[in-house]
Amino acid sequence: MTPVRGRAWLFGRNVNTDLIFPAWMSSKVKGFDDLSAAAMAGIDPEFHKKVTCGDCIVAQENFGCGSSRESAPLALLHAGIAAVVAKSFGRIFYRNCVNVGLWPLACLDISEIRDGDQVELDIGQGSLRRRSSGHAIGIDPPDGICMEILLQGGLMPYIRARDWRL
Amino acid sequence: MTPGRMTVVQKIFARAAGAAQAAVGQSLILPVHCVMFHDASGPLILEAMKRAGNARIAVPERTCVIFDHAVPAPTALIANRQKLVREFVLSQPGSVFFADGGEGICHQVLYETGRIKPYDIVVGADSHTCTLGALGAFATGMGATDVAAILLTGKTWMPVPAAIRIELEGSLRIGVAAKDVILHIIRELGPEGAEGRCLEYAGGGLSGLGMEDRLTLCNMAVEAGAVAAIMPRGGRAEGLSGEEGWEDADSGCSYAGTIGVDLSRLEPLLAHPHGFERITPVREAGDVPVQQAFLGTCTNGRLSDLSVAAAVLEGRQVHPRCRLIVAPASRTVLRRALENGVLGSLIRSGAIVEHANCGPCLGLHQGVMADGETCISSSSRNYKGRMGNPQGRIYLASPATVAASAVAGKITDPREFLQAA
Repeated sequence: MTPVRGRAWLFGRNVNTDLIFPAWMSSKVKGFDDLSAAAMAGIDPEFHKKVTCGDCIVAQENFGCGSSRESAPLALLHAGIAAVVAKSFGRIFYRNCVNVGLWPLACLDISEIRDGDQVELDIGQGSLRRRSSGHAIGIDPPDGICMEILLQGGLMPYIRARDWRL
Repeated sequence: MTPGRMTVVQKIFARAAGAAQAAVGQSLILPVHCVMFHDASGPLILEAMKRAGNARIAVPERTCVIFDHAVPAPTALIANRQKLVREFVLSQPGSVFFADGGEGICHQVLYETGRIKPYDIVVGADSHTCTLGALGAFATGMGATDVAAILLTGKTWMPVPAAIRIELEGSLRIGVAAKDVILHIIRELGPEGAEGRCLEYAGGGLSGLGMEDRLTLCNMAVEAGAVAAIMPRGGRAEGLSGEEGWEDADSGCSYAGTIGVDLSRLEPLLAHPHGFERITPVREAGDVPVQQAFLGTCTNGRLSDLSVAAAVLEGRQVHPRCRLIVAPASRTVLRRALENGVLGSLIRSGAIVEHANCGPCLGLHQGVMADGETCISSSSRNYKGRMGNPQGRIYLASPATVAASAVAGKITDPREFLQAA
C-alpha cells in the first residue's frame, strides 16, 4: 500500500448517511459508476467539486451512522476520497466501506489535524502525517477478514476468488 | 461471570455456527435463514452481482424481495430501476418471495409471512431489519454488497456481539407508548451507546407489551448503534407460530451493560431535530407549530398505532394548517383498519390516507415539507434533510403524540386528549 497524499476534510460527530448521500440526490447522480455528485451533499452540495483524488475525510465519533445505504461510501469513493479516518464509525457504514474498497481507519485522537491540512496517509505504517509539521497520528487499519477483503479490492472479488464461498 | 455461560445472542451464533460455544468478538461464518432486500437497495445489489459476473441467487427459498420505498414509482428513473430489479427477481427460481409495491413495508411484510422463527439469522439490506428481533431472531441490517454476497453464498461473516440487557419493569400509563420507551432507551444509551452490541430485552414489564410494541422497541435499536435487538419468546405475544427453539440467556452470563427501565415512570417523549442528541418530554416542548404530521413506517404504522391515533382524533378534526399523512405499514393493516372502522375515523377527521409504503419517511415522495416547515413524525429518523428538504425540521414522537399535535396544529402531549375519556 503506497502512501497517499491529499487534503484532509474535517467533519464533526454523528455525520449520518442521510448527510453523506441524501435520498433526494439519487435522481441527480450520473449513474452507479459515478455517484460523486451526491458525496456529502447533505452538508455541502459542492463538496464533490472541491475534492481531489487522494483526499481523506477526518471525522469525530460515529461517522456514517444511520441508514445502510451503500451509495454513501460509494459516493465518497467516486469523488476521490481515499480513506475515512474517524474516532468511530457507524457499524454498517464501516462494513460497507470495506466491501466497496474505501479504507475506514479508526483514530482515537484527531485533534492534531486541521481542516485543509495537506496530509500523507500511510496505511501500511498506520499513520496520518501533517505535511506542514511532519507530525503523525496513529491510525488503526481494519484487521482480520476486513483487511483480507480490502486487500482483494472488496467483498465481491474476495468471494469470487474463493469460488463463491465465504 | 461464569465461563461458558452465554447471552441469547451468543447462543444464537453458536447454534447457527454448529458450535458449542461462541465467544464475544469471535468472527464466525453463519448461514442466513432469511435474506431480504427492497426496491431502494435492489439496484446496487444487482450492480454488485453483475460486476462480479454472477447473477444467480444460491438461496432462493430463503430470499424475500419487497418493494416499499418508492411505490408506486414517482419518476421514470425509479420505475426503470424497479423494472430491472423486478425482472431480475422473476428470472430467479420461483421460490423467491416477491411482494411488489403496495403489499407494504418490507419489515412488516416479512413479519406477516410468519417465516421468521426464534434463533433464526435474518439479514436485510435495510438498517431497520433489527425490527424482526421481536420474533426472537438475530435480525440485522447490512449494505448492498454484503447482501449480494449472502444471495450468492447463503452465508455471512459476523463477530459475535456483546449484549446489553434492557430490563423492563412495571407497565405503561395511559398515553405512554412503546415509542416513548425506545426514545427513553436511546436517550440513556446515546447515538452510539450500543455500537456493535445486541440489545436483549427482559423483565416482567414485557408481559404488558404486545407484539406490535415489541416490533417498535426492536425497530429503533439501530439508532443507538445496536447491531440487533432480541425479544424473548415467552409471555404474552400475538400471532406467532410458537416458542419452538427459544432458549433464555444463561444465568451468570456476561453483559456489556444493563439498563433498567421502569415503564410506569415514563411519559411521552420527543426527539428534537436533527438527530438523537436531544430527547425531552413532550409537555416541555413549548409552542412549536407543525405544518405536517406523519403516522406510519416500520416503526409505528401498525393497527395499534392507527387505532390510538383514531382514538385521539375521535370527534375532532385535523388542524386546518396541518397536513396529517397516514401510511399503513402493510396491506393487511390497511384492510383491518378499513374493516374495523379505524380508517374511516381517520378519514373523517381529515387525515390524508396513503397506501402501504414507507411514505415520506425517507424524502423521496408522498409528503415533502416546504422550507421552514416542521413535521412531527412517528418514523425512526429525523436527520437534517431526511424527509426530502434540508430546510425542514422533523420531531419524532409516538402515534398518539403525532395525532394530538395534528389536532392542535402544534406539538401537544396526547394525555390532554386521552385522559379525559
